[in-house]
Amino acid sequence: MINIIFKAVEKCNSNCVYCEVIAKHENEIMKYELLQEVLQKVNDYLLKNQNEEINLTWHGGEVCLLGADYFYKTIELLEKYCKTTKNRIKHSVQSNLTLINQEIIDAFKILGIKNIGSSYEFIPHIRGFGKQRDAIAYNRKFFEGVSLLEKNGLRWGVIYVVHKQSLEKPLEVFHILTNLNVSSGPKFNKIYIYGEDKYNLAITGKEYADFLGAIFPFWWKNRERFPKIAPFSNFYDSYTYKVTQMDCELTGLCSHRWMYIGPTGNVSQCGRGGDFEILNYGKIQYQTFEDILTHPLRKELKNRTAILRNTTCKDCRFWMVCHGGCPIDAMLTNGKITTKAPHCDWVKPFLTEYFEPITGLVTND
Amino acid sequence: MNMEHIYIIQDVSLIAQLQNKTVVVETDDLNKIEDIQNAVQEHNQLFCIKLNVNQDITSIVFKDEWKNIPLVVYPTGLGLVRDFIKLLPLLKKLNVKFFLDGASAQNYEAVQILSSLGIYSGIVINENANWEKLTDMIYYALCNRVQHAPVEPFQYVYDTYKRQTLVDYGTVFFENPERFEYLAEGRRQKAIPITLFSKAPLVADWNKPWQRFFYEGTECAACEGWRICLGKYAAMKDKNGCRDFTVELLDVVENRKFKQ
Repeated sequence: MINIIFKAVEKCNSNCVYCEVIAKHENEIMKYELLQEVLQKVNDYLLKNQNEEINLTWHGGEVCLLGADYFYKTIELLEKYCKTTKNRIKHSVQSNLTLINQEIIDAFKILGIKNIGSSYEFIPHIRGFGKQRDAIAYNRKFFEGVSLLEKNGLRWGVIYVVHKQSLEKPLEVFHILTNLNVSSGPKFNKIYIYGEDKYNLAITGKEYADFLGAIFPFWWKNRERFPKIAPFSNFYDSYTYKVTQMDCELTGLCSHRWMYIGPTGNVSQCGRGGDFEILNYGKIQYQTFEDILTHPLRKELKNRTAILRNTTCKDCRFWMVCHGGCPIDAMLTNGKITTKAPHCDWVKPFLTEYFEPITGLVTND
Repeated sequence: MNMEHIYIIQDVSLIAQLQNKTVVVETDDLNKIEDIQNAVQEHNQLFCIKLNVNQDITSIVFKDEWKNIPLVVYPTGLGLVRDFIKLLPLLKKLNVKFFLDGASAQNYEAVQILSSLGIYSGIVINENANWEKLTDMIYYALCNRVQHAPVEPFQYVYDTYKRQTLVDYGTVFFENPERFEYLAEGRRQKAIPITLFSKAPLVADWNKPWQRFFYEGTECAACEGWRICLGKYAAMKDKNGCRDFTVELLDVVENRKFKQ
């Protein structure tokens, strides 16, 4: 499956402190003509690759700013230009849920969307509307969205970005997130800040490992009570089944299966690549999907895995769950893709100080 | 969670507005019980008569004629055990449950006596409950190997808990707004969860009033017992009691249901 992080809009109605997308100030919305062109190219690719599927992740910015009409137009274009391939085009959505309405949900249902990914923060002034980042107003709208999703039988889950203020109360954070939605577990992500830390939110890898480590014993003891919680469940599955079950940044498999398309047709490696304008593959208007998926820059990305395995990460027994980390992160941190990303800083201490001693599981890669 | 919607009325003349609906009729008048049954049964399903009486069980004059009428009685206490034993044969014929106030220490023993003698009973947990006794009651209700009648709300939590769903045991006490709606002359109101008696509700969606705990940042949202409590005792200053109780109940239910 090819994963396209599809950002037809990069504007957002929220003003989250750690968001790299809104920092771009990209106000353009993808025009219908370009949307049509993208879908035609998807169709061309799928016609030539009969066993392939494409997952279109509607991402932003805030996708609901596109409005229901935009999604109905997409449905119309899919019917017209992807007649025989539309069943191999899967759709998923990442939304803050504060603008979702019944019309949009009805369109999502037609697109076969059953789950919506979102984010949540209970600490004030981190996520929210306006300059003050009004969290109460934001979360009230968020819950209205959640109620509407549940009324429509759609599932939802949240990503929680761990930052300096979260470090004070790891178990509290865990309980709030698992109480918030008892049927779908949260995914913890370390905050990424490159350059100036204006809001004093940056944390070190060790701090993140200790945050996870403060939660892990409770989760391990009660793990059957909770649905899958990332990264705990991923590490557990990877250790148990000896095959990486990690998210994209730790799989080492992203080189030829990911793509970002932005509102004006910019193409890049993935969502983060697009946010930071790294690994740009040009414009969708002037290329086929094959051109993009075999772009020369991807070769370096593919070689990265082999290079790291034979050099920096040669004797690392955690290779199976890390693969040198995210290449975009490596680029942003070290200026070079073929270096390892700083994921080591949290993966290793978490696994050696908490995960392995508590579970009794060990990896020898 | 899709549950059958049940209307609660105090004035039985309102039954005309609720054709073919399931209803609870609330009364404090023992003399009206048969009339209520007659009024409701023609076009409606009677869920139960909720009887609020300011007297002990043993001082209520129960009748043989009530044997087909589902009754949920909120008495003040049990009364003398010797009087209760005399009443027992008649109570065994009736479809009756007794819910006693958890604020009274004696009522914990009373509920155990009722349950041991085969009478369905429950303890109403409010902010004045004795949390230590309630925690003991978990073990009586769910771990006791000697046969006894169900004790609420423990039995409800045990029966409905599925790990990845929320449990509102307010359902047992007619306080779950997803299930119950109060109907009075000219107005309708969803059932009010116990916690909202003490704090003004702010939510748009009355079906899920507990959501406000998350955007108001109250400590209940971060409690391990949340999934079976939903912030029922949010107005209490010291939450150690309710937290310890709900966490223990959750652990016992998990162990009994999934690990034995």
